Amino acid sequence: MTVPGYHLMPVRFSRLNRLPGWFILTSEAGEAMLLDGSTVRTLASQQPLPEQVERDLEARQIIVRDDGALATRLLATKLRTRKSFLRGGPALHIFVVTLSCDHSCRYCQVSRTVGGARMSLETAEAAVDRLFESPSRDLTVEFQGGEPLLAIDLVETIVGMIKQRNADGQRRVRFTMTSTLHHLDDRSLAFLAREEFHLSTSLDGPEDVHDVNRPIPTRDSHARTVQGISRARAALGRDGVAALTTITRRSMEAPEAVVDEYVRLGFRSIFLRPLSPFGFAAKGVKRQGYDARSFLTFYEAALRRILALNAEGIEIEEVYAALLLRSILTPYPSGYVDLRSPVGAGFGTLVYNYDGGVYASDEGRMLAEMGDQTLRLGHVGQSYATLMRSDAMQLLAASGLAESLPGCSDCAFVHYCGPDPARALSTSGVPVDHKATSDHCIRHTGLFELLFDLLQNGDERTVATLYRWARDRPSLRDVEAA
Amino acid sequence: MNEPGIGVDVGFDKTVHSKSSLLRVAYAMADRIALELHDFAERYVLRGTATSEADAFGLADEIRICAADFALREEIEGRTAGMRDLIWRAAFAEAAGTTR
Repeated sequence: MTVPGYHLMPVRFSRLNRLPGWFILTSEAGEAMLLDGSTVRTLASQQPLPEQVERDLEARQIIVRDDGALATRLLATKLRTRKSFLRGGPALHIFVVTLSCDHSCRYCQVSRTVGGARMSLETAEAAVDRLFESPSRDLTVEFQGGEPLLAIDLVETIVGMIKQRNADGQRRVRFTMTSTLHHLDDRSLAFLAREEFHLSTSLDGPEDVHDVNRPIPTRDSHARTVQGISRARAALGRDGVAALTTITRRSMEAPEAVVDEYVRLGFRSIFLRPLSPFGFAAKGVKRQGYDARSFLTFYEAALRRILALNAEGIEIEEVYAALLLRSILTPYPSGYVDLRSPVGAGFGTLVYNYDGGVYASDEGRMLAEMGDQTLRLGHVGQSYATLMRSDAMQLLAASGLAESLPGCSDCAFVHYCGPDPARALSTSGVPVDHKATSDHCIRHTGLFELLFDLLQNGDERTVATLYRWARDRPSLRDVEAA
Repeated sequence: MNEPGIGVDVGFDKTVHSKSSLLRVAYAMADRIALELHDFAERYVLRGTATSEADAFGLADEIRICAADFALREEIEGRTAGMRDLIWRAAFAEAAGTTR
């Protein structure tokens, strides 16, 4: 024991439901420690602690032995690093080039039609202007739809405009596309390879699951997706195409089969993504929806399967876990725009819709398709500065800082999490939902608890895998695909 | 028509628990029980209704534990509020037009 003489610095704590009697404590910069209840009581009353515990707490600036001036500066630097995504403004710019799509996925978040609306050249030019008004040196331009391959000529034109505007090389621009890959041909593949595109597609698991979730008239979506993956890999390389799976009630019946299909197809990552409460997904919620606790049960089964595969030497990363672990185990932000505080919508992402509307996020435009224009920043013809001062951005600024929100401000996981105003607007009509009943909160609290449980109690191989995921940056295309 | 149920009343010493910390308890437990805060001379009471006697006992325990946690959080916040403000101001000094 050491002589008492420490002071508390700002600290958040939460009980861990998975580990009764244990607490997680986090410093103001998000460095975590797990302590038992007795130690927490001793700490709270500033009584002497075991020397090693005291050292560990001091190393995280949860306690200090002096006036705290140095710790304050250290915490400020770490906090600044954790929030470093704020520096450049929006880096992810999504161009919705067409609504046309031949799928009729039950969970689709986007309105889609065969032969549907497409972005005009004038709108595309204005969107490129806004892109270059954005201050970020690193820009990711993502093409979405509908199915963007059905407007590949427009994609080529936009890429040409961007390259011309960036002739001086002042910006680093990455191109990505979210696509079914069904409409790839030699010409589009040559273009995508030349411009070093990263492709992201949806693969919901084995054929029976995928084809139920993602129907097309020919009833062979899975086969065509697998064929597209193969062609894309041949042109762009194995890591040039990533896939993610949207979990429906049907998928929940077969967590291991979903994972095994990714392994069979040679993927090194899988993103177990829950349904979003938008668009057609909202309409189909009774048929295919589930609550956050059901998702967590599915997720844990699938994650344990993935960890077992890794223990056998088959390296496959679960992207959701990797993103959260990166926040938990490193000083850096994960790069995942959906879990940021201040919120990634608007501050990290801008969406240029086919009709010229500019939205704070993909979910914002989906909300608009449901009749709620709250997250519409304005029109692509308006300046970047005007869009960023819009009522929508004011609303996001007021409701998008987790550290100031009821429920979140007390939560020890707040450093790794972020609010979701679009989801809250969709499910409760207001931008800040009630945390006790919020699916977003229940899901993420459950995920954080699961990961801390595995880090604390997992076997050596499990812990090694989790650390590897945290340190190997998840690929940007996986992040953007979210 | 009122739902039948078992009353859950948990009293708190005003010298230990603040009104704001108990309101945070009511917020945090809203998925399990709707709690009202009653203000008496020397104590606060959180009052709600459970569906069974077993639930009532369990919920009363949860309310007490949750209240202890929020009282502690509030105490720590009180002790460290100035520090938190300093950390955020230093981290984002340029947002206020100053440098670190």
